[in-house]
Amino acid sequence: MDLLNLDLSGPQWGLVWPQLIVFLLAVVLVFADAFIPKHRSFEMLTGISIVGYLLALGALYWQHDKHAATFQGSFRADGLTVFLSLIILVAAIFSVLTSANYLKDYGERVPIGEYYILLAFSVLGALLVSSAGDLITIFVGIELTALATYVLTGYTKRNAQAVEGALKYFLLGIFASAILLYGMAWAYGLSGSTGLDNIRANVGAAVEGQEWFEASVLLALLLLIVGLGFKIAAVPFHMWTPDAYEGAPTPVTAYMSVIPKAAGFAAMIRLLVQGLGPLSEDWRWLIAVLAVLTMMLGNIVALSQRNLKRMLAYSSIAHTGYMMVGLAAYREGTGFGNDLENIIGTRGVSALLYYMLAYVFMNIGAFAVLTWIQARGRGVTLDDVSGLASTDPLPAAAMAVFMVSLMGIPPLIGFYAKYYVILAAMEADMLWLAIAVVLASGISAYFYLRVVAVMYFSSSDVTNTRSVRTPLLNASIILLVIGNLVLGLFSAGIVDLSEDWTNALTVAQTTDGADAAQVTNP
Amino acid sequence: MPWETLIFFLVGALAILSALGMVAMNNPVHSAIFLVICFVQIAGIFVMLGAEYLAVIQIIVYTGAVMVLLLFVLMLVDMDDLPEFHTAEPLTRVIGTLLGVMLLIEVAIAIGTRTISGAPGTDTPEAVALVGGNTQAIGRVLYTKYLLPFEIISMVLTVGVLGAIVLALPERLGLEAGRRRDTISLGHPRGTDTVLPIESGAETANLSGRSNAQPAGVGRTLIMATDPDDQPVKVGGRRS
Repeated sequence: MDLLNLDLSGPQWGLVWPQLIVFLLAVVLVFADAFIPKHRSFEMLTGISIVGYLLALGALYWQHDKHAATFQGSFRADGLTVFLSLIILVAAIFSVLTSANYLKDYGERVPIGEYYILLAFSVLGALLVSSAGDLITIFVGIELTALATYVLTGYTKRNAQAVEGALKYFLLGIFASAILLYGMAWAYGLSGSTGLDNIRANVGAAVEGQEWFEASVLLALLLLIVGLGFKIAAVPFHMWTPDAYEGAPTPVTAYMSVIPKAAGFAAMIRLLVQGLGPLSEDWRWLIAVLAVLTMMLGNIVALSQRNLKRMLAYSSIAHTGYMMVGLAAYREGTGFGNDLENIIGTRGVSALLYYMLAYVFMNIGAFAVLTWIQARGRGVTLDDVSGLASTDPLPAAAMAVFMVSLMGIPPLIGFYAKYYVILAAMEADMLWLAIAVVLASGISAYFYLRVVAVMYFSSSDVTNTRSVRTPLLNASIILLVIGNLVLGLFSAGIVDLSEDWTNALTVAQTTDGADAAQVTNP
Repeated sequence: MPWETLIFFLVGALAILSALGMVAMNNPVHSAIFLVICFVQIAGIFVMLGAEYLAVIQIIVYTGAVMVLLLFVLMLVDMDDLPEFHTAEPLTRVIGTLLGVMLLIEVAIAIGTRTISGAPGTDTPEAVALVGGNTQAIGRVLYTKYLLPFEIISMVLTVGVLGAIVLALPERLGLEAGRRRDTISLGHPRGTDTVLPIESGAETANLSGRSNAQPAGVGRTLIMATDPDDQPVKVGGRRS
């Protein structure tokens, strides 16, 4: 396509249904919030949200075998889109279930409608990032997700910690966005296109035969990885994480530890694997070093935390590290001065995707139990959960499941997630990285098991609890526990599925074809 | 040296200097004015690149709308009321400076050694001239190739408006306890502008750790600016 011969064909709406449904959900919520009487708005809005996300989830089924692009290559409905959207929508449903009772409890002080609207827009942003075929779509998608999340972080605006966390998150977040945008500008300058497939074609051709790294390519990679490192909270760009996670309302923390992170990883996969895949021999070292730093620092600092939200914040940093190992294990083709013929590390991306799915169930679960405890007037420190097993045995058991799963003990999902990541690292000849994962998991055992030990073997000294009914929260905790117990058993199938789908991403290039083929060196 | 180059250096130098001034100034209003100068210079660079449309947009949107709004806000807020940001420790400053210089060097090397075989894409100056100028060219791609990002940006703006309203709107009427009264004003010393803890609720427990949310005016009675439909309230100590 060039300027004179514009492609004026309209978008194929059939490909965009899941994303369109979430957008319609946001619009419906705006109007519903305005017109539904206040005393009924909580039930209605929660119901509309859940139904909307379920419909989108259903619509994914029709998207899953399309493998096509529309919006002139800006939107791709390929395997990666479907798998990431699946993860994001499942996380969104659990976020709504987790938030609902909290909001009702808190509802006279915070507006309920806007919460669901912002949540829907944020989910939509993440969905659009995971289906992006273009640098600009990735960027605006990430901004959509992040902007809504900043507001949600400071949602309880009379809580000084929430305001502090939101401000830090916001300032560092926009700073990171600027860095990311600068990196994208370099990537565009080097390849002459914003389309990821064109970038792949041009960068691959441009570096062919180069003996040593090209300063401009390295700069682009550095800026992109730093910018996205902020979004996924990788060390050393994690400074905002503990404060933002601690200050935000607990259900929002559950949400923001998963969906913006999924969006960040989606952007990383799209940019680095799909766009800059030919340079994988160069960027994977950056990712690998960051992954080791992230795992180690996250787990070591988590050891000393007594506030469970802060502890889970550092634990979520550590899990970012494990996921980055999957990305670092991706290898293909020729980098500078390398002559690898075939893609040898395809398992990396699918391991990362499976880890993300597992992470949704483990992490939202842990925060859901914290929400449950908070709803009963307790705090979130280790002292507040001491002896929980004697007063509330079922939540304590659920928390134990989530902790053990986060740690990575066999029949649970967390074990399989780590197993595939380690396997991917070993297949990519990065044994040291695999060893680092095992070491980091070993360190993490201490603080995860400490929570379990405190719940079961200490006596309870918390007296001022109140009894409330939290049906939706209970349902979400039960579903998450089941997910943790069962999904691990089907891990082989899920990983194969994600592998098939991501191979479709890297091997079969876009079918919107003409666009990609036409960029030539004049 | 052709005059175009001279003008470019002049505009470029002014842009860099005003950007430096923007960072270095202590008074936010001065910073804002330096930023306006910087934006005008960048518009000049756009003109020299043949991108008149971007230059005009730069002036109208950034210099005109964004910066004027920013100045309005700055003038409305009492400077003494702004919170003081924690200034960095010497070590942090050194590391920050070093990293900045390293990035600058890296950029210089990248620009200096760019040997990659360039692929300028399809939007060459000739192609732009063929459709009648860059305004037309931008219009052509904005509504075809970049339609999806263009639509998403409208959602980003919606979220921005919504977020600003959610964060700035006082809490629902009829909740006296939850109302924040001490926003701006009437010559109270710094530190009165605090966030009072919520009376009860799930997040209260979090606050117990840090109790610096104490009004500076504890011990004496302050009359604060309130909402127009409200009686003045006395603040000081705990509110019942």
